[in-house]
Amino acid sequence: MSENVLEIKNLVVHYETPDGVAEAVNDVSFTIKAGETLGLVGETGAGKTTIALTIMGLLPKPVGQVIQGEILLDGENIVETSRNKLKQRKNDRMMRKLRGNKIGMIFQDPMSALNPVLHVGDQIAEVIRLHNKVSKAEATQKAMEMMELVGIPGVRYSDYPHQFSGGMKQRIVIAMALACNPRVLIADEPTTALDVTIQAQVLELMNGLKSKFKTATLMITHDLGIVAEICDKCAVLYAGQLVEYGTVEHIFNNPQHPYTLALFASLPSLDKDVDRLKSISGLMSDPMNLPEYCTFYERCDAGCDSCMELDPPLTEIEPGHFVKCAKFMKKTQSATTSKGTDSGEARV
Amino acid sequence: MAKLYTPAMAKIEKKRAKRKGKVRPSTPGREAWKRLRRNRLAIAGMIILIALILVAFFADFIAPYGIDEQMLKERNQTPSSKHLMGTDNYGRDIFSRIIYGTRISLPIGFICVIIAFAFGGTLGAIAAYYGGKVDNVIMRIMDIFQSIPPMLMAIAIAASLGNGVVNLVFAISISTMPARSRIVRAAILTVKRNDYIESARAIGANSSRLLIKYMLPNAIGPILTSFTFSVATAILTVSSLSYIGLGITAPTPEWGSMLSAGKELMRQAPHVLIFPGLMIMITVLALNLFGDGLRDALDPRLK
Amino acid sequence: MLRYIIKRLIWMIPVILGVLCIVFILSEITPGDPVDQVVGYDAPPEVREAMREAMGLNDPVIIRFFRYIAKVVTKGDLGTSYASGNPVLTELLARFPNTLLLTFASVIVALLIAIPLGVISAVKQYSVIDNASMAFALFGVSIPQFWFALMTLLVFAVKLKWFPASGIEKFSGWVLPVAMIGIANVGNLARITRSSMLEVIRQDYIRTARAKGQKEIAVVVKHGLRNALIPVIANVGNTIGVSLGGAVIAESIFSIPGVGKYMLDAINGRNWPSVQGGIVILAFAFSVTMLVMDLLYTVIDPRLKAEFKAKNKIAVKKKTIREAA
Repeated sequence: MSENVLEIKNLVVHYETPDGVAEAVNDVSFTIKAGETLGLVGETGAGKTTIALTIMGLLPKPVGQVIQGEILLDGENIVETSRNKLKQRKNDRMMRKLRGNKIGMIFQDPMSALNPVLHVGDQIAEVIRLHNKVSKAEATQKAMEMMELVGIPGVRYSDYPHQFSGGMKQRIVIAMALACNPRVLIADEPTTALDVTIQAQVLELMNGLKSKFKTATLMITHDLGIVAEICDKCAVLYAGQLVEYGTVEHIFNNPQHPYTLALFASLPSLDKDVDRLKSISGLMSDPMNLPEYCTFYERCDAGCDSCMELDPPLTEIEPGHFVKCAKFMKKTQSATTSKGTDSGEARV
Repeated sequence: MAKLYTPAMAKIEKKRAKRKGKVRPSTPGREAWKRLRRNRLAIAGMIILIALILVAFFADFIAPYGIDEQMLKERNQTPSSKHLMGTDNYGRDIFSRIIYGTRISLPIGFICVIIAFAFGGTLGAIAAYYGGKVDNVIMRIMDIFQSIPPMLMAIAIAASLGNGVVNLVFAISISTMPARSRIVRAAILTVKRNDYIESARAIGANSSRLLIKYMLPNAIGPILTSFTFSVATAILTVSSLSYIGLGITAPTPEWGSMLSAGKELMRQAPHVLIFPGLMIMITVLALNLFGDGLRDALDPRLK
Repeated sequence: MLRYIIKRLIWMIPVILGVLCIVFILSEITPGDPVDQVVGYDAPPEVREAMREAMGLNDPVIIRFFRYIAKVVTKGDLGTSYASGNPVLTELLARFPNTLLLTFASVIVALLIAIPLGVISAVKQYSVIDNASMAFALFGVSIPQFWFALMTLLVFAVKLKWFPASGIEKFSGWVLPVAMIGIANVGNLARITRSSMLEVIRQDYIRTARAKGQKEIAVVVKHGLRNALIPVIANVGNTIGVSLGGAVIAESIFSIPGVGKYMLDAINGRNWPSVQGGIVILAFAFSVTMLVMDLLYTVIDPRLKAEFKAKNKIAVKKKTIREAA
């Protein structure tokens, strides 16, 4: 078994705004090995992007603050929970060397992720020159190679972003993220802004490159289809907390948390003829005002009285499969086999 | 996991608890007013403006001496308890003249901008509403007008027409008209382009409802803001023209013309030069502060 | 690109004709008889009539209008100064460099101060530096320029005697006039730079640059500033226009022999050909500046260049940028 490249332990992140404190990430832990892809699933505002920005060290300062937890990159902690300015500055300097070098990131909207007034090639070469001692010509050469690698002719080095389509821009962003052969690649909804046909191409490209470079990938998405297609592991995030975490097989073949079940129920199925897709009623809890009890209780079809009393911990229900729900608290061992597609079937 | 509390959280929550009061339905106007009220500088600007307007109304009661009351024995006196801002070379009380000056600068500034917006704004609105050829022709003509810098244009018109309040107002209105037409045009175009106009149309809003409920409130923001800034600029222009002898001339106590008369006395009685300029600056500063606040309040995205 | 430059150059023709038209109309509405200025009020009627005929004042308006346009366009003849009897153009050209120098020096100095000020303010939003520089900027746009000039004269020329009160024989003579015109520009441009920079540093590509591990200063300068400068450049044209107006007043306060002082002296002496000539030449200079500015955009913003290639209506796009600023 290979070592964990990225390990997140008990991460807590808050946004401290004048209107209140938003508890964006609450006690999240997961690991990714080399060449492995973890799908981080959740609805808008669940804290997916916050986790990505925390790993990158790009939380908006001073609003975003890591309250506790560790992020280990190849065993070394890279977050600073102290509010001490000196320590934070030191951490900033360290993170700057890691960003683009050891950790690459692909952003959601390729339309706005590239600087409109610089040549795309130069934007790739920039990251190469920042982290490698190479001449300008070598960086240009390498940037062109990267462009070819993602399927864009190197001759378009001196073109501007507006001369490319959305899918091609995303390819350039991918080239930029992988230019320094990072250990970890964070992809924040890389295909959301793209056409469906382009989505498949981009995913295929990412998948190919990932296995080629042996990069540990964190794939942030709200599309379960993408997870099924390219991920090895899956973590379901709800209101800043992991509610279910396991291999893709665990999550897809044996989903247990009511929220995960509801997510699957809201998907159209080719096998079954359903008149009406099930939607999850209600809204996610306000991160400024999270309840003391289970955050999903208000929207849960399977909630019982005990759900109101406590916030259930993440419980291992089978090796490597964790669920955060009150129904598993006592009978940890009794991994049910129900393959419910409707949350109504979930037994308490 | 237990909830983590940080000191920052506790502090903020205390603040939040205090703020909770009765809830009133919010309208864009009320929201803007709420934001404006929170902006201390803007409120300061507003208070200064209201004070200046009150001074203009009650000048006769506030001013200790008459506009042209000459006290020949007390010429070029430095500020004292008898003459708060001193006297000029005719022995006139500068404080009183500055008080009366509010009756000139403020109304002229406002009138110039109202006229400029009335004519320029209409042209801009027509251009934006009809678009195409109409827009092109109107805006090209405005381009030609704008190829003479506004100050120069005002000087040219004022010089051709001669001195006097009416000519001055005409000169400033005409010279700033093209810029105002652009502001109104841009404001309406922006609104016209928005998706919510389309969606309002889609849910069946008729054109008058569209105009009143959707277009106007959204276009009025930038227009109102620019109106405030325009008054500030107009007041500066009025005083500049008067200073070079092209606007309101002595003995009218316009602040710029007071400075013009005082420049000869720079060496003997510099105090004559200080106060009128200070008044112009305070007035313009108040307008700019209020304008800044208005802009932030009406368009919170800009902040 | 070439197409655009040619189109833009052709557009200069109606602009200049329009300016001439406005100037002609202004001369028509001017009260008083031009003959008075040439031969004097007390000249005998036959002399006046002869002069009137010689000056072509008896012809219909429309003929005089086209004669004026033709003279200016074909011979560059802006008329003859009533005061000196010399061609107005010659007198203007002798003075024009001073006005140009004053205007451009003010704008350049203002840009050099305003851009760093605006950038720092935006990057350190709500900091002490931000508050201080924005307060300064607010005073800059609120202070009457001529009064600021009078105050600096009072302090630095009369009291401290650091700079001469008038004239440009010495280099130090330029300092106060440039400061006078510059103060308003600094205020204006710093405010524009700040708000534009604030907008830019929220963009995704700034986050991308940070994600590359770029240093904060490089993120701001290399990725932020170039984008943030677009609206600033869009405003430099207007700033030059405002500065030309300011130069007229500065020249009269500091006795600088430029077009502005020449015009104001001419206004006092009712020497209309000189006044009109001054307006024409300053408007011409301003139009050329605007042309250069428009072309400069395209260098900075590659998106606009692409639009020229696509033969789109660039003017519309630029206008929106300028208006948005």
